[in-house]
Amino acid sequence: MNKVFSVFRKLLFLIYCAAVAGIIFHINPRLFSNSKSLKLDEISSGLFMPSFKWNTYNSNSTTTQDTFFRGDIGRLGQFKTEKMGPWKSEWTFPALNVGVHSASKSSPIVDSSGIYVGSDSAWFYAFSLDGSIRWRYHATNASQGIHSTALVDAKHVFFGTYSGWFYCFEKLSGELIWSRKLGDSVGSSPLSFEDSLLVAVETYSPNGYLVRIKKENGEAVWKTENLGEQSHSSPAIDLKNRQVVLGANNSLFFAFDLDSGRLNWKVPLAGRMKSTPIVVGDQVILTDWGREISSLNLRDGSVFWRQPLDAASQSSPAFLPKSSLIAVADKSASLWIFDLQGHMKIHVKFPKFNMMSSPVVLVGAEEQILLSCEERALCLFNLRGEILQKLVLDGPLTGIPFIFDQHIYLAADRGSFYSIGF
Amino acid sequence: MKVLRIYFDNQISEIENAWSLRAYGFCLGLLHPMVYLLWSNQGNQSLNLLLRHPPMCWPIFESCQIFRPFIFFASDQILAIYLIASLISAILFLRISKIKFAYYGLLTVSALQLFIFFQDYRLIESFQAVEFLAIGFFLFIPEKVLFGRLILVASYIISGFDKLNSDWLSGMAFGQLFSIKGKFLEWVCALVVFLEIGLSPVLFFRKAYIFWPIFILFLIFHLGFYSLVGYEFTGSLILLLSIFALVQISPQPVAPARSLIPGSCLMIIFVFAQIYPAFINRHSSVFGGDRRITLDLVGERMVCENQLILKYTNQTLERKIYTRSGAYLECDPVVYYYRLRELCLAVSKEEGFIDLDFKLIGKKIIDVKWDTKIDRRKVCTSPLKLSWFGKFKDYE
Repeated sequence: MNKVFSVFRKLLFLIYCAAVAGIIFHINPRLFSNSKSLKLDEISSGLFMPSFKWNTYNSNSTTTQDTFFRGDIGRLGQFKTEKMGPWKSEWTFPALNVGVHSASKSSPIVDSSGIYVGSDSAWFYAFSLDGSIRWRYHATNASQGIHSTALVDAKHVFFGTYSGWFYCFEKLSGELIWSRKLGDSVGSSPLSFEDSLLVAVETYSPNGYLVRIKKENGEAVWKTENLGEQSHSSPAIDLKNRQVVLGANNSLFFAFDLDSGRLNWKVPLAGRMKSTPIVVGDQVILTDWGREISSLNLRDGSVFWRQPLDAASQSSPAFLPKSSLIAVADKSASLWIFDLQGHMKIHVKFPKFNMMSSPVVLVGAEEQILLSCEERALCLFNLRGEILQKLVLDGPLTGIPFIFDQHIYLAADRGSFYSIGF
Repeated sequence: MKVLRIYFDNQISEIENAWSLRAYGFCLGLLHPMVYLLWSNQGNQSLNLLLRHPPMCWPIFESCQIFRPFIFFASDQILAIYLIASLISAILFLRISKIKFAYYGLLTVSALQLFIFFQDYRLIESFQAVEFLAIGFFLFIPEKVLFGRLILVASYIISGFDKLNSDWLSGMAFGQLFSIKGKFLEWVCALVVFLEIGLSPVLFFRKAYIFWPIFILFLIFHLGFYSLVGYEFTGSLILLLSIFALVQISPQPVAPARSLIPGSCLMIIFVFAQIYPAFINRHSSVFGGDRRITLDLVGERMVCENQLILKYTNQTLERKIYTRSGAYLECDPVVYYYRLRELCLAVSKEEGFIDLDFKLIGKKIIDVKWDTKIDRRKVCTSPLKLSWFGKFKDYE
């Protein structure tokens, strides 16, 4: 009897052990399969990052009212304006940027509600048009501040910081609506499309991606494959082919499907791309650190034309719609104007300084160009490359000016914010 | 009083009559020097270091600061006494004529440990529930050989069930803590669970050819996790494990039958305390107060994020409460409660300050969805309250 009981006990113990093993294999069936183990990166990056929802998003905002970096989804860098009168500095806000590092600074975005601009001290400002501070927000853990230019819609303002967090605020009250971590840093400027935003995100490893997020809560719609290097370039949209284009620091230029984030094509460039591309017809025109300006076919990335510049360029091109010309600058302080076939029309060389800003085009009765012409000066040019007006600043201009209601607004690096009437 | 004396005399005589229990008493006495090492070094559990910071009291002892001035000025001396007393009591267990002194010595030293432990909530990271249970059962419960082993096997099984989740079995609970990775790590994790749940009952087996291989496997398991849990915890677990080897190598004395009721009742309470939180809160081991009564070993790894919004007239400051990432306290509401209280005191005098809002979210490392754990507006004007179990009152 004892022997039977002993065998029964052993049998029971074996069944118990088998059940434990069965449960373990049920929870982790990969133990006996060839499928790869889960990687922490897959969970912790991109789509599944933390977010905080603080207030209700007002969904009555429409994209037609959106204002963002370089004007439109093609990032053409244009402002419609009347002829410019003499410039007069109306007010300044001192020491907006403190120069934490050499990246181009956030550019202002302006609409009738006020001025919105980030600073490299991690403060984001909402000014009234008369220069008084309406509200300001200090982002935490962003030791290198805010370099992304904000996007403003009818009700909200959106921007990213060098901490990798992306924010949505109610633009009049400054109430935080939501914040979401998108990666390790966001240095580029968002772009809106339909009810979502496109943001280039930097991560330490594996490096960088483009993400499409919902405006209402920051939730990711899709995330692209990793770009392989940091992306400081801000994306532009090619609506005809429903794709979004941008470059990265690994000298590659990418086109991703706008609806799925799938890679359509990628092509090598002569150098790192830091600037924002522009989309003009079938072409995407861009500059890089390999001393080139390139025009690529938006359908497959094949080269339409390439032209050498005097130096590396992180200046984004601007399109002059009336004359169908492209204005661009390089780091040796040259202003170049090309036609759409790549023929150089004008080349103006300024006394040498590290040109980091990009030209913007004023479209009125005649076309004019705004660009820094000295390290600490903003100039107005005509299409013959002649300087029409000049304003000395207290710091270098590394972002771009914004034109609104007969005023130029700009933020200097290691210097002040300016409101200039004309 | 007499009843009490008889009760303690019975405990002492039980230990006196069994060589295995005397040797185990010596091992239990050596657990305290392990704790001493934790409290006296310069790590995050350094008593000196913790006493220099504002107190973070246990929710059940919110006036912990009353003893702090005394402990602060004499912390080195207190720790030295703690070490010497624990070593003496351990050594006394090796002399059959001094068991009484050894017993009361271990009791006193354990009480001192508990007293120090309750001086700061952050010392929870140096608290090993299994050690306390083992010492408690050894000191107070009759049939020590049986229940001393039973409590350990039950702890292994419960700890194993705690690891029956994809966090542990995928190896992701460890993040980058281990040098082994991929499939090998997954197999190691699976074997650990199998060892704890499936094979820990084998530690009761008398047959040497079954017992010793499994016992050695447990030793290897604890030594293998040395880099993860530290030498103090590894040493402690090996000392606890010694009871199985001691019982195996020493003949059991013929002893008068003792009551199994106290031990059985406590075992039932212990098992219930481990099981019930699982029914009320998925992340009970990390959020909320249920962790206070669970073993809470490293079965699940949580990650947390928080955001503080400080509102002033015309400006808003975003801040974050920093806790050690991956640490036991990373997501603990008690930590946030104290930090928020300190912060409110500091900022409420600042010009233009209105109030602050706070959110804490968290998830198991393997999950994709974050859960909101604390969402409080106007923290400074409507102060937070903690329950005894470390939960935010009127929220969780």
